[in-house]
Amino acid sequence: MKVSLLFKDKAMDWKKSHKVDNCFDDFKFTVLLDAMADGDRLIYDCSEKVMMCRLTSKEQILYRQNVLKDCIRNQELILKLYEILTGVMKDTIQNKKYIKLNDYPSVVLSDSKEKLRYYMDKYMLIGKTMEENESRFYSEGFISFIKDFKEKVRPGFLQKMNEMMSFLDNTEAISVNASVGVAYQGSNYRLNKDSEPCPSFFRLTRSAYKISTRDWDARRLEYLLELKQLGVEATADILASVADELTSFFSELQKEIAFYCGCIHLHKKLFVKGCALSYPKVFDTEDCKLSFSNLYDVGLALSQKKRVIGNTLNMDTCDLVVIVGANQGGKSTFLRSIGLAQIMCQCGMFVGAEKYEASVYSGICTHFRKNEDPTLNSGKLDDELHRFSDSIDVLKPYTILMCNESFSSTNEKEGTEIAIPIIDAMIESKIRVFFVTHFYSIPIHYVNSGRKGVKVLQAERKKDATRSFKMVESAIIQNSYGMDLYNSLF
Amino acid sequence: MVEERYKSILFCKEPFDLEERKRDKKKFSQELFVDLNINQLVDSLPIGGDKEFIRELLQTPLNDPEEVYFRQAIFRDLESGVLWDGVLALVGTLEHVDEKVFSLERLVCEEQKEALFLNIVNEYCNAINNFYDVLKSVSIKSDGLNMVLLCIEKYVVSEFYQTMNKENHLLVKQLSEIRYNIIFRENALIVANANGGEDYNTELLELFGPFLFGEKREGYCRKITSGINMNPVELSIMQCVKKLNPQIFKQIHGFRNRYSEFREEFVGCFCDEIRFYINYLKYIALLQKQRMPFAYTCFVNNMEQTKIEDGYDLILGIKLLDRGVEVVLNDFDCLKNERVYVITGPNQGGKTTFSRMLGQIYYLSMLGVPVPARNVSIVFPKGIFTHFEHEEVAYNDNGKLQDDLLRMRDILENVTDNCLIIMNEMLSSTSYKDALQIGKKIIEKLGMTNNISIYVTFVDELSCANEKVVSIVSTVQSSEHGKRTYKMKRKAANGLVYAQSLADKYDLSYEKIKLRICKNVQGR
Repeated sequence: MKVSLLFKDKAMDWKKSHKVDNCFDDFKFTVLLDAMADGDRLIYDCSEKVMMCRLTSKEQILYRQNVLKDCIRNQELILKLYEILTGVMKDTIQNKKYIKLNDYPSVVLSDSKEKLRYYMDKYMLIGKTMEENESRFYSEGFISFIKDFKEKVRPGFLQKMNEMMSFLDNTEAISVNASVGVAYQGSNYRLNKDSEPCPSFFRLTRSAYKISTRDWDARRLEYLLELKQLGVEATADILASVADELTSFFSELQKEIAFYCGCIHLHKKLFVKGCALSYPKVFDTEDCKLSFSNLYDVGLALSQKKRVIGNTLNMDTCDLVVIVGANQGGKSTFLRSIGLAQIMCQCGMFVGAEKYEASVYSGICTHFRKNEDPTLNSGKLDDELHRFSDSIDVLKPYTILMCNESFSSTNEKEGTEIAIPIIDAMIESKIRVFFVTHFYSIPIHYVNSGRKGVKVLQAERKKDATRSFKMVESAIIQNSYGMDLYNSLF
Repeated sequence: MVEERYKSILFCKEPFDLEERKRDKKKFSQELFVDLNINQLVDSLPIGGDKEFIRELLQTPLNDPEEVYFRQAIFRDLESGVLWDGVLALVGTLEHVDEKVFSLERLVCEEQKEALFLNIVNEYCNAINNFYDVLKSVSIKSDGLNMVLLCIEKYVVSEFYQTMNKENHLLVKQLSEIRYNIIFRENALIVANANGGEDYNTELLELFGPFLFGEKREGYCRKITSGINMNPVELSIMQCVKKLNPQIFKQIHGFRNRYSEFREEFVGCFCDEIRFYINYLKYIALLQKQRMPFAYTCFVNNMEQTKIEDGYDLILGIKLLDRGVEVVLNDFDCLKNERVYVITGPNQGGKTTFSRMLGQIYYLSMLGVPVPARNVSIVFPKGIFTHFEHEEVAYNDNGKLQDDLLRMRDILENVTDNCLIIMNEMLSSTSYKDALQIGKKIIEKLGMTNNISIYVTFVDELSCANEKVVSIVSTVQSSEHGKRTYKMKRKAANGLVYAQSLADKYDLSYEKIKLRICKNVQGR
């Protein structure tokens, strides 16, 4: 039984570890996850897994956005649904309603009967609740979910099921049908529906033979019991499979809904603070789009009381953004705001901005300076290069690379000499690079080279020398200060 | 010419018998297999089947190009996935059939033996029919397999096979159609003919169909195992079933008597022989999956036409697969007048591997199997002589030198022409001066023969001994670590070249980055 609230045509692979990028630590992802989880361990885990599993196409993202919109619209219902599912799963584990494997067929049979009754009950509850609210769901995901339920539980289903179950309640006289196997053994045993053939029938046609078991010894009686077990094995398997299917269905559904509950929690928290939220417009990878208005760092917004500053930029045509400026100016926050937004966008969520338009990227890779490590100075350039080289192993075209103070462990001349060929190779391999640095010679090089598609930003410094934490186009570079100054004075 | 009588798919000329050919094996010594690591190929063969037979085949090279091409053609045909699957199915099933016939003895009940026999013949006939269909459906180019097709065709249309096949299938069908009911009462069991009653399970499946989407799973219950012999209750029931269906039981009884000799001899021979091909192809399968090249050797007349493109050490290639590393490919060719190739370079640089690769390619070419390279054109070798250094042999220095010299003399006395000679790291136990002087003399002698000689040495100066001598060097990457590339290049022996930029060390140069990103896309 399929659950397709996350993907249209497949189930989410919860077991696979999707963690390929190191960026999750650099973007302080846990702040976001904590807000989504609201104390629920399962919501935390599921949200984490979903967000690490990046979607790769416009269609997939749109599908999920629509399901999410439905969830936000029907918040109470979805949260209630999650509660019911949690209850079922808890019952399953605590009361050991798992299917017991490897027991005798007759035991499996009666066990499965009981479980099936319980699960079918819950399934009806969930299905009916959704069906009643059918008119409030517009997304393809939920519409097909409800349709699926209606197809499975057609009118008369419950009655028929009860009928068949009660037939099994009578275990005394059973009749089994068999065919002849490879070495004349019986095989392919199946349960017959009517177990009382007419006695006179036999005398008339001599098509039956009777074996008396009255005086049989213990060993033979044991074999006889075995035979009976063989007779009901196939039936037991069927009932057990249905119960099994329902259990996995509930488990799947619970996990997928968990993610959406996480989104609902997040939405509430940000909404209450008056933060802007919007659903991004998504473009194909080759379009290389990235532009936004009033984009802010969602993590920061959650953790501080003050209003968070947003940035507005259009970076569609540039593949290199160099960010210069003094510390504490908001450069890292800026990178983080884009990183988080892109991740959220690519798993079908809303983002923290008034407007956000972006392509689907192959990945996000970060190379942030590790602030806690004071030894990242001269002599440790080796380590930095090593780490950088490792991160290249996962780079593909159409990835976003964010470098924060890379190669700062050496002097400006050497650092620039190393950085420029690397940056060139990256952008020529269609990788979008954000490079934060205090080596001014890097942006100067690019501006002087007249290369198109380069933007230089810096943290805004107001007239009164305070910081606004906004990113603006850098004016410093326009004048190549040193030589001009000389020329003007001499 | 292809005839209908089955001869062999391993040999296309007399003698067809392996034993006779083994007697002619004087050209190759046991040491050769150890030196070239071909013994490792033999050791890694799957156990079971006739391992000894295949081992002997691998140690008995063919005598002339025609025989090699005969086997190559069969390998080429086996590249067809359909044919490959068909052959595996046939061999597997017939093995299975043999096992089952053997296990018939363990049965106690006569009727069971008869029924099982029916089933065995059914498997056999199905295997033959399927294989015949496969042979007809693919395009067969080799003489060997065409002969097999004709033989099978003759067999399948024979009267004996036709009647056996038809009768068997009819009986199996009739048997499978019997259904009976067992009714469990308080003090009795009733066995009756099935009267077409309603099946509970089918109804249940219909009801729950949408939940399972037709995927009914099994295995929830504990398996009630019973041996092949029936227990007394099953026996009693069977007796009832026999009374209900007397005719068919009688016919099955008769079948066993009439067809006890159901197996055809040449099919067994074919299965034994084709194992040679199957085992070799299975051995190289992993490498093929990694798209490592394999070639069918082409034999030329002149030494100057010798050319090997992208060759590699097969055994090493398989070992490195485990470590996820690809073995390096190398070329080799022989230009006018060249006869001796002196190979120098740093330690662990791949010199021995290179020489081993040549030896392997030459040897394997004589077996008619696909060889590890992209293209191979060589003169059909009249002999292959090797002398590799063995570290395990604990001679004192004098003893080892004598050993080496004796071996060299032995080789020089026994070579004819169009042979391959490989001398690997000889004279390593003696002084540099001696190694240089003796080496010069030996290379001169080798140069006078019409063979290809490979001389691997640490003495760089030997590489320009005279004009028949070619210098090949194993190269290193230009960096302070002297990283080996394992690539052999024709050039003068020289020392290492050092020093490069910092970024190069971590593969962070402009070119390197672009290359790495490209590779990431291909998903290496």
